[in-house]
Amino acid sequence: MIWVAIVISGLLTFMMRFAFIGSLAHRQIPPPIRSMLGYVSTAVLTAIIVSDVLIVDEVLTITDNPKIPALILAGIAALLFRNVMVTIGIGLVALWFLNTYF
Amino acid sequence: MAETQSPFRGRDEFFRGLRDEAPLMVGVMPFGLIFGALGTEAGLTPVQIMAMSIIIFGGASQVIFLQLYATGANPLLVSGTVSVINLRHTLYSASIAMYFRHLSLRWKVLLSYLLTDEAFAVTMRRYESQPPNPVMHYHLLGSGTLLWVSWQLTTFIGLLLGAAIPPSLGLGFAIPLTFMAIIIPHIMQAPHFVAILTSGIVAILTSHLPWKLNLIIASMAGMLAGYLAEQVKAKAARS
Repeated sequence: MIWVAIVISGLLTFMMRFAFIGSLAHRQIPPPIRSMLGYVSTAVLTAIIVSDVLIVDEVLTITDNPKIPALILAGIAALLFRNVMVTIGIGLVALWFLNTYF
Repeated sequence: MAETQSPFRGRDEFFRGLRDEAPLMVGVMPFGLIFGALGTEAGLTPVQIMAMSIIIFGGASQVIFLQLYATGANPLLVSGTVSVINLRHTLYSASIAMYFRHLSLRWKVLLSYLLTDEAFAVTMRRYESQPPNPVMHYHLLGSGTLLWVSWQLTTFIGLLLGAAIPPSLGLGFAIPLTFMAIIIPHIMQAPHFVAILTSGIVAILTSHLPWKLNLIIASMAGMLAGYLAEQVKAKAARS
């Protein structure tokens, strides 16, 4: 069953990458769709962050969730330093600190 | 081959691609380690984990695959969610296609397989900053190959380490942190800000749905909101 999911996911992902490179007709994406696709990354990643951090054991957890302040702190760090490693580091240390002392 | 007479050498473009891609490895390598470790934690065999990195070859989507698989979602739903996350690759394909028209089908297949976020970013910059030469596609071969090798290698090291890393260390939290680092630079652009806000709110409102359906719904809502905000902004700029 997992193999079915891996192979189908792989095929679909490849087909999306190949869609325009492989097409013989010089098709273009209609401008509205093109513009929407420009927001896929931000929209998808935000949805993942929110459900990863706020949903604990399938329950929406806003209070008593140390990941929220840790994420906010990391967000500020990301804005200031624009560096992936620094952001991850500050977030992980903040979470560890909060879990240990609070 | 015409390439031997051409003043441009594929080799040079290939190595340029490697060099341009190298700085981005700082973000890719920890991600690969984390994916490998999470795969082991989720109970997958080493062969299954490596197969995911080789067959799917798409970081964020592989992590979501693991999370969905753990909830027992059916394979079609898993593949559907992976596809939504990887939808952006059609945009990359459309943007770079015009430069690859003269290539053989074999090249097109290979370069499509290597077309990931980071490789597209540096190679597209190359195409746009220079008048395209007939061997410039070697640049994507270089950037894509470096990314591919790093991703497979770190997945492998991660799955070996996975068994040794205690879940209590909260390594999984590194995933949302990585994504945070990616979206934050866009937050100052109004349409992106609207997309982020919409996606976040919809993800919370639909969080009670099974199989992480909230991811698909929130992503679609965020895309649409970003597009609408862009339209409003364009209209405001015109008037």
